[in-house]
Amino acid sequence: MSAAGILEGELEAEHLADRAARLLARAGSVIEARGLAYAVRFARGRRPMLVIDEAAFRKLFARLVPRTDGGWRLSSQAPSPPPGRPGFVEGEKTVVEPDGRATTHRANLGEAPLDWLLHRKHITRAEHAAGEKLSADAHASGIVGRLTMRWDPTPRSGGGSRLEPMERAHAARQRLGRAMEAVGAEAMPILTLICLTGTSLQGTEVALGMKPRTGKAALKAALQRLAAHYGMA
Amino acid sequence: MLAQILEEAWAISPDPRRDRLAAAFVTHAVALATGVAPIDIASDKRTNKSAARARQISIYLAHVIFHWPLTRVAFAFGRDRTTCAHACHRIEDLREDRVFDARMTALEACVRQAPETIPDLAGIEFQRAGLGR
Repeated sequence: MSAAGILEGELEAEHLADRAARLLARAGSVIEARGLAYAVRFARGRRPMLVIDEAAFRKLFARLVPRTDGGWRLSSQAPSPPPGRPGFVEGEKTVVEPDGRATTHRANLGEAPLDWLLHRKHITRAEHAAGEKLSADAHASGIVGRLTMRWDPTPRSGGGSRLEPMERAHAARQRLGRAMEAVGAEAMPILTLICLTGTSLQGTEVALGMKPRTGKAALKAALQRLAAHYGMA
Repeated sequence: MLAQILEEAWAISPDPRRDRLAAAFVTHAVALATGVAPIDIASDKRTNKSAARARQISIYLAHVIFHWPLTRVAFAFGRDRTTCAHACHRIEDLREDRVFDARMTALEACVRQAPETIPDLAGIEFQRAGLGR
């Protein structure tokens, strides 16, 4: 079998699996083994709507849940990600560069601590927004330095802000400094580690030598003060 | 006697009038997709092959997309339950062809969101809204 042939076979199996999944979306439908193939029926006693082969069934199997009477049905949950890195969600994060372009770079979407906390409702949306603004300011001020070329457009005559990119970075640095001062000396390391660096809560507790399970409350207090400083509360 | 007929009708489908309208919607969508006239699709007499095929497609859509039981589909289209089952099996076998399957998927996507998104204006008084001038 050539490589193209194998790919074709895989595509066909995926296609059949999608057709079977679409039919199995109906309540009460079931897929059962019948001879060497598998039959999808809408109800137990009826003629099968679709007969799929072993390869397609293997693709479909990840989404199936066994029934007590025998056979399988489609599970309502999404299939679990492959094992290996439990908290790691590979994805793309949109980041606005100081020159206004929105670039995406690969990031671990599963572990951004602010998003994690917001999803579980430990912090409010205002606090989350304040933390995101802090990290955006830090990114724009270019403290960490950049590897790519600067393609910032110099402002010509015309509408829009007449700020040069250097002025923009300076303003962001000033905002960052003022926010850190307003928040106070106890909260500054927590915010740096979590918002700017993106360490997890447990990592910050270990790094700062705090008692375990106190990080969340300390972070919430720090974010509240930050939100008050930004006027977002 | 009328009450008995009505009860049998309500056992098959909760709102027969709205079901007929939904079936007509599917018929017109299939007519637009296949190029067959809706009158031909919905006719009782024998028609040509393409109209019969379009009728089978609309029955299949009503059964598979709306999740109606075959009795309800048969009632809405004015056909026999076994005819509707045969139609569904035929169209499912036709879907082995990749091109046909892709086009059917597109048609399904159109028909799937229709009866939910079409609002029910039957309760509004049109005179008060100024539309009955």
